[in-house]
Amino acid sequence: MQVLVTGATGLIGMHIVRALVEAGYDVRCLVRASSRRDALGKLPVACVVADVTQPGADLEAACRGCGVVFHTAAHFAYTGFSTTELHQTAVAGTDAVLNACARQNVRKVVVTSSSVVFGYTRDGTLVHEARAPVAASGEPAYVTAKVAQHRHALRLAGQLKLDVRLACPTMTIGPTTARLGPSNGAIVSYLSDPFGNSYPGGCNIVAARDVAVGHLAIAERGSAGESYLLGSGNVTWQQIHRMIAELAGVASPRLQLTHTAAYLAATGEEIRAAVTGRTPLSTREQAGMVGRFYWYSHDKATELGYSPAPVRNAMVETLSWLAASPHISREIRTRMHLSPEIYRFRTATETGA
Amino acid sequence: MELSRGVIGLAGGDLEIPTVAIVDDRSLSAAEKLARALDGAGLWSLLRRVRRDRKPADLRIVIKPELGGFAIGSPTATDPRLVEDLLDLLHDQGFSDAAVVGTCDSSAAWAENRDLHALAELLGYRYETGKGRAYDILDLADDLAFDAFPSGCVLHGCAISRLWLNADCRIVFSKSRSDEAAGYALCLDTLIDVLPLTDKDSHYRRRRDPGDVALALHDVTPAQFCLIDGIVAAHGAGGRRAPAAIDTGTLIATSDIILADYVGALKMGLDPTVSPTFARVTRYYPVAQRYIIKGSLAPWPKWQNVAPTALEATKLRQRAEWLDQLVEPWLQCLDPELFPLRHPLNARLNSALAPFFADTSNAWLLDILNGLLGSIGQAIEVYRTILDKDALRQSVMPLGLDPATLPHSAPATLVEGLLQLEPAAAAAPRVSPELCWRNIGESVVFRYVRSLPIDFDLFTRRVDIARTIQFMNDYLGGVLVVLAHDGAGRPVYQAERNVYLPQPNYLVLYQGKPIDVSKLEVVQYEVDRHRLFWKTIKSENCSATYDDGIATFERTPDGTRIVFTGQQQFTLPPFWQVFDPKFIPGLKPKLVTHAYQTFFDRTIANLEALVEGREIRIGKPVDEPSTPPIELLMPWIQRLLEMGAPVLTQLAGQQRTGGPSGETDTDGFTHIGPTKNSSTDAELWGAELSRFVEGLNQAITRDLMRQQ
Repeated sequence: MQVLVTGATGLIGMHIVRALVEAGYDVRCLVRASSRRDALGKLPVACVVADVTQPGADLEAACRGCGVVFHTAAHFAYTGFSTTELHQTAVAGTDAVLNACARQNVRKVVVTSSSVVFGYTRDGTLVHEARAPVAASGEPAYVTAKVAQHRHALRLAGQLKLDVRLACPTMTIGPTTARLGPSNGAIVSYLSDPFGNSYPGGCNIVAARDVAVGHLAIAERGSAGESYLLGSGNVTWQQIHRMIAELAGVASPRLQLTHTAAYLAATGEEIRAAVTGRTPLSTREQAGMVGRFYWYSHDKATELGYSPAPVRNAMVETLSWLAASPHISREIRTRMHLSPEIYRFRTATETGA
Repeated sequence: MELSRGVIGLAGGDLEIPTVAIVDDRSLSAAEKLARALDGAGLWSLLRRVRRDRKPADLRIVIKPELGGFAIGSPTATDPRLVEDLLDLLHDQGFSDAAVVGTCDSSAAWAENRDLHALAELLGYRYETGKGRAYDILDLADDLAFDAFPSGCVLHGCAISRLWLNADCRIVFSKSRSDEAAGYALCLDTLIDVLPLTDKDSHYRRRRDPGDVALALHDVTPAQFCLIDGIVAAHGAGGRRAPAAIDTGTLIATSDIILADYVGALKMGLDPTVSPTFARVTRYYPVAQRYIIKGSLAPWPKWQNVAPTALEATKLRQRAEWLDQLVEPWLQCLDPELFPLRHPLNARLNSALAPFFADTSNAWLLDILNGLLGSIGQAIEVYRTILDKDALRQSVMPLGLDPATLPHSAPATLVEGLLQLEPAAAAAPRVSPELCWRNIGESVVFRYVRSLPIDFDLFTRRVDIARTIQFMNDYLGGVLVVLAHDGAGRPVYQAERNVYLPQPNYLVLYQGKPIDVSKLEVVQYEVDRHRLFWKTIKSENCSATYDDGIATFERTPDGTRIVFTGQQQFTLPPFWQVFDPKFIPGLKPKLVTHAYQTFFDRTIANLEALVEGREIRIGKPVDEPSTPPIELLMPWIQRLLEMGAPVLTQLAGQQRTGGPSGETDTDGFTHIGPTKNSSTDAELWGAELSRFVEGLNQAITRDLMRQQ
């Protein structure tokens, strides 16, 4: 079957393409002219150049003849993009893709939403898909954009009579050739922090390869109009940072930042970034998310056969890649001493075990 | 003889007692003085020896005059008429294949008309001699050879003009000049300018020791004959920056470049070794024991030199490369009509500062400024050493030792001696799972063991064991010369010089020196074990008494076991020598343990990173070109002004007055378009502040709620 993946060079898109190829699909990748295509390597895929924010013939041609479209294209960022840009890609992009699908009689569309559309709790209670996707006031622009995208996709599905399913990945980590992104960035932030700060709250972490397999499961066995959370383990930030420390051989968290300290640190980081012209390692918007529990249940996806690897495995794979990647500076790498687990993973990957 | 010296060229001193002709007869014209100097110093007999069976016209002669002038008739540049007279004299003797050579210098980055041909023309070169003979001025930045300098040499891998390299006779025609950093600048300084990179100050004087550079040039492409034009010389406290002309009426000639500088400095009334370049070169090529002086060595009357305080302050400033580059265009006295400054801000500052500091009564202010800039530069280096190592500049230096002088048994003796360390190190008290150490005398004998779950064959494929020293923590640079290979072409005996950041890094706060050691090394390869043995032969800056050791890489069932065994004793900064931590119970062992544990933990991380295919070197490559400081500075000034403009506007209570939107004014500032009203920027600032306070308020509230 011919399938189309938008955002094919992004973290999730790239892994979906690989999973689809492994599953025997005939994959077409939608990429922007400026996209780095090395993510797709030597995979047997066709690339089509188009922009999801530009409705028109290019987009429709890309959708033509496809049985399923995986729409992953969106900006995932807490800095560097304006609210308008984030909404433009998320909402207008989804609008253009769904309309193109409807015109080309595509049977199914899997839209990559986000777990954040279902919100969070303050006490660690698990969140399910039953919650209404609503963004509270003061939420980061990325969150409001994803909520708007989620709701627009469902609304448009009804209007266009399209089979739209929503995949809602949690904090997705893993190797990528694209921009580092906030999820992998959270790991680099801890490795870069000479003070080993942690903070209250927690999140659900999942490997990008599992999220990709989850998308396939949703496409193959999911139901129209349904949302599926794709996560793995629910962990506190303390646990995450301890895990990074163990696997990367850096200092364990020494201090748990308060909201105020996290806010001031993020302000300082934003100033540093503004002065040096670099991307900040954290922002005030992210600091505002400190103390929340973004913990989710993926029971609904499990019914489709979704079975993600534990968080630690995801972290091992990600750290193995990060340690050798340019996202980790020479100085940070010099402070790291990789655990035997990472070396075992590397050996297993190299030998194909 | 030192290995790094290579083949000594046909210096006149090799063949006969060198003669220095000092011609200062006031009754002679400049051309007559030149003719007498050439005769007196033996140029013609030298050329006869060089010529052998060839015709004079077949000899390729190149003349490198000093071109560092910033005005017509500048006393800091060789008189073009004298150079043309030299060409005529050569022609008269049949040596018709002679050319003037040169290249751009660092000033080309900030002043106009500093390219070779424009500069030569402005300084008065006419491409035709007084006797009507046409001559060429050839650029030594063209047609380059990259393999002229041997390994172990500070210029190894650097380019040099084939024209200079292959010339039958190289003549350096320098100028007698006082110099703010070196005391004087004569033939060795002019010789350095034959190298091709434009920013000569950075590449050949700041990032490399100019003495090493001059030494390398003297080894590989020596000047066979030297002249110093002192007829109208540049003296005074301002050195080349603000030269004062003085009529000494003297011309100096000799076939020995060291003697040339030696005599030139004596004529200035200076100790020749005041110049670090001269001092460095004469460590390897001492002043000839026998030489003939034709003329008077008495110092020139009324000659003024740079004050010692100014020398030290300028040296301090020059160590801060970026700041030195920044202020150089501001301070150089020049003719702005001939050499307009490229950047308008530089031009403004130059017109204000250069004349001010040229006034000797303001010299003390310049000393303070230089000292201040030097101190800022030092503070930046300290910051980089501790917190931003990738911003440091890598080091390059010559090997500095001659393995050829060592006995043939050296490798075996070296291994045997180092193996003696193992029992003492292995039995030392264990202070961590990886490390054990003990004191023997003032040295530390240690053993550090780590196992990596990396297949031994993979490890040794990715990590070149023979270069282990370079993979150690904080390796800043150095040189490795392989002396012997095994049957498989692998190095088994080698000499190495390396520079590390001060260890531990915080010693830089106490003026701790980089660790600079020259070593002999033996590499052994076995199926399941590779070893590197190293023994320190000398430390150029006396930073180490011992830095000897063995690095062992062994195959284990789980991967690779790495063992570092060694003996080290580094020279502590004066503060730590006075306040010896051993007098505080328990402190010194903690400091030593922390230093060794950190050093080898990070070294192991480097080895892991090499297996991953990462780059591990700290610092920026030595010959990486740098952007002119003013260009780096402008966006910052621009940003600061943009940030401050609304505040200033508010304070002034009036609208901003600037040039039209997007235009760059005469000072180089780009004016951002006028705002609709004066309060817009202030409102934005206010909104941002309000957002910050609101966010802070929410964060504090959440903290308070959490506590309840």
